[in-house]
Amino acid sequence: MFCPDYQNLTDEELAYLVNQGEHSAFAVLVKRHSTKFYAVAFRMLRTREQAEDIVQDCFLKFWQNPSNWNSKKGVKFTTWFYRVVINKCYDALKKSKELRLDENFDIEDETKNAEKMIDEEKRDRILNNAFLVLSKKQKTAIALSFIEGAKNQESAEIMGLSLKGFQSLLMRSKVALKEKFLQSGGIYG
Amino acid sequence: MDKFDKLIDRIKIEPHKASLADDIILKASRLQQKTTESFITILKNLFIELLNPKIALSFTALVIAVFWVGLNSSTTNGGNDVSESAFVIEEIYYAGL
Repeated sequence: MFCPDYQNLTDEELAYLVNQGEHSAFAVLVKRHSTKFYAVAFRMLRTREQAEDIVQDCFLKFWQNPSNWNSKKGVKFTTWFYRVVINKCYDALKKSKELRLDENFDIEDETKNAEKMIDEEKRDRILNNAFLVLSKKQKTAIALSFIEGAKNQESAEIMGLSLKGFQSLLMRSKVALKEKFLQSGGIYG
Repeated sequence: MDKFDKLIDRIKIEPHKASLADDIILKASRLQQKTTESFITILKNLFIELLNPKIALSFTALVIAVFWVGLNSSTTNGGNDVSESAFVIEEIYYAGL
């Protein structure tokens, strides 16, 4: 199905071929990166279907308008595409009713059960809920910090921040997450 | 922060459907097909239209008329008097229909 040589090409070379209408090059890019992009979208949205839809939309838009990625700007294809995915996630978060749920997240309710929070599943649930309460930038920073193989420099570029700015945001995000987790009765260690 | 980092790593990611990549590739392929199909359809329709003798005749008459008007206006009256030319175009066009 795929041209075997395409597997050895860089993302940027593949993106160039997509610009020429090469469907096989597009297929290699999708196979290579869809899981990573999905992981970031899922971490931000916490909904499988939404994350899948967003990854699909972004790829199809890229297929229809491949010139949206401009190699001359010197930005890596993945860096640009993560930005596209994250912006889509922001749009989805704006529309999502979950955003309102985030604001109404009931910390006290969870605290009542603090003593019983030894169960791993409950701990994960508290952690997930605490994550949902974070601001979108904090969510993004944490989601990006878990990109497989990504360095802080790339994450900083994706978010349009300096390296120090990103590191500082990531640290604050983790502190905020920890605080919310502990306030909700989460126990770790 | 190390222990908590490990805990953060536990923020669950539900695996996506196994066919996600294949679905995207297939949909892109269909989109491409649709674009090609619609382009072919336009060409096909244009060809069929031109095969219609009445339309072909009208089209030819129109082209000749436009050419004639252009020629006429550049040679007589500096291109100002087009009423006669317009009448001729109309005649040729309706003769075609």
